[in-house]
Amino acid sequence: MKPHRRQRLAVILFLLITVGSGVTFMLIALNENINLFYSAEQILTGAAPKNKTIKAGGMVLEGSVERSPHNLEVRFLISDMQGHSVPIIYTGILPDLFREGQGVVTEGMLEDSGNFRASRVLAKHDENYMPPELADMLNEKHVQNKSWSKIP
Amino acid sequence: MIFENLEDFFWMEGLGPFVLGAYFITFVVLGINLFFPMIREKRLRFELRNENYELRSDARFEE
Amino acid sequence: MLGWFHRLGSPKTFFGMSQSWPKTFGLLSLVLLALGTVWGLLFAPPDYQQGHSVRIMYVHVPAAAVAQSCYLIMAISSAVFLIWNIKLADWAAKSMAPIGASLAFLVLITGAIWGKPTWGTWWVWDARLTSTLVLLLLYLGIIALRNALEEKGNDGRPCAVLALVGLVNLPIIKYSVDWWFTLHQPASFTLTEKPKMPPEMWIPLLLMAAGYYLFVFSVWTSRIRNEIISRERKTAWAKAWAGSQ
Repeated sequence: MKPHRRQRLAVILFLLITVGSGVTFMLIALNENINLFYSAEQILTGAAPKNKTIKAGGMVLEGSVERSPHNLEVRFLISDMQGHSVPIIYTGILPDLFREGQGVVTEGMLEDSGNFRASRVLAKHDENYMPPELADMLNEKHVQNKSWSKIP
Repeated sequence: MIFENLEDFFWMEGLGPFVLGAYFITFVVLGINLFFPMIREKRLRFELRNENYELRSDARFEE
Repeated sequence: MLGWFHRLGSPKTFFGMSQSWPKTFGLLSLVLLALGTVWGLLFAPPDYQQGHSVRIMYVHVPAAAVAQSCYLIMAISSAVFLIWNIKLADWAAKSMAPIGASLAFLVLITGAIWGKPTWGTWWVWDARLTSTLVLLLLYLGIIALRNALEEKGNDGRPCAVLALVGLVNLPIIKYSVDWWFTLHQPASFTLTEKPKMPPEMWIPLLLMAAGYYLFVFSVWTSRIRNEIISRERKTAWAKAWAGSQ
C-alpha cells in the first residue's frame, strides 16, 4: 500500500475508534435511560420513582394471576426470576399473548403502597418459536430468566 | 398445507389482515426497488441514442 | 490481487463484466422469494403462542438482516473510495443508499404490523426499535447529503465519512437486546447455539433471506450500471451499449 493510502486508512481507523469510543461512553452514561422498563429488583430497592408514569417489566409469576369476578380488574405479580416480585393491578383487556410464565412490560405508576397500577400491559415474547403440536409434546414452560436479571 | 380453504387462509384466525398486509407491503417495496433502476436504464438508453443521433445529424450538416 | 482490484474498479471493465448480473440474480432471487413466501404463508406451522402472526417473521427478519448488511456494504465501499480514490466505489455506495433505506423502512413497517397483534402496540421506544429507526434516518441523511453535493458538482467524500461514522450504529442494533431491557426479544439465531425454532420454520426463513440478498445484489448492480452509463455517456462503449438493443 502506498504511504498516502496507508495514511488515509489510518485516518479512517482513527475516526472509527474515536466515534466508537465516544458513543460507547455516551451509552454507558445513558444506560439507565435506554432501558425500556424497570426490573422488579429496581422497583423494590427504590431505584424507580414513585407516582410517576414509568414502565415495569418482568415475568408473570405462575399462579399469581387473579381476575376480579365483577369487572376487568386483574392482579398479578411480575418477577425478575431472582426472587424479587412486584404486584401489578390492571383494569382492561390484556393482550392475547399475556400468559403466566411469560414476560410483560407494563406502563403505569408505582404507588406508595408498593402496588404498581398499570394503565397499559404489553406482552413480551421470547426468541423461541415452535408449532403448537411440538409445544404440547414438550409440555414444558421454558425458563426465561436471562433477560430479567440484567441489572445495570 | 395448513389451511383448509381460501377463507381460512385470508382470515388466519383474525391475523390475516396483519400477515397479508405485511407481505403486501413487502412486495410493494421490493417492486419499487426493481422498477426504478429498470425505468432509469430505459431512459438512459433513450437519451444516449438521441445524443448519438444528434451527433450524427450534426456531422451530416457540416459536410 | 491488487491488479484484480484495480481492474474491477475500472467502470468500463465492471460494466462489461456485470452485464448479465441484474437479470440472472434477479430471476434467481424471485424464485427463492416466491418459494419462501408460499412456504411461509401456506406450509410453515403457526407458532404455539403467536399463532399465524409468526408468518410475518419470514418477511421481517431477512429484511432486518439485509438492511444492516446493505449499510455495512455501503460503508466498505465508502472506505474503499476514501482510501484508493476509486470512483466506482463511490458510485456503488451511492447506489446502495436508496436500497438500504427502503429495506430499513420495510423492517420498521413489518415490525409494527407484527408488534400490534403480539406485543399489543405498533411502536415502543425501546433500544432495538429506536436504533433501527436511527438506521433509516442515517440512510435518509446520506441520501440528502448526496443530493446536495451533486447539485454543486461534488463527489461523495462527505457522504463516505458520514457512512463510516454511522457504522457505530450496527453493533448497537445487534446487541441492543442484550445490553438493555427491551420489548423486542433477543436473537433466535446465534453462531454458537442451534436455532431456536424447528427446521420447518427456519428453512423457509433461510430461503427468504437468500432471496433478499440476491435481490439486493441484483438491484444494486443494476443501479451501479445506470450510474456508470450516466457518467460515461460520452464514451464510445456507452454509446455502443445504447445502440445495442
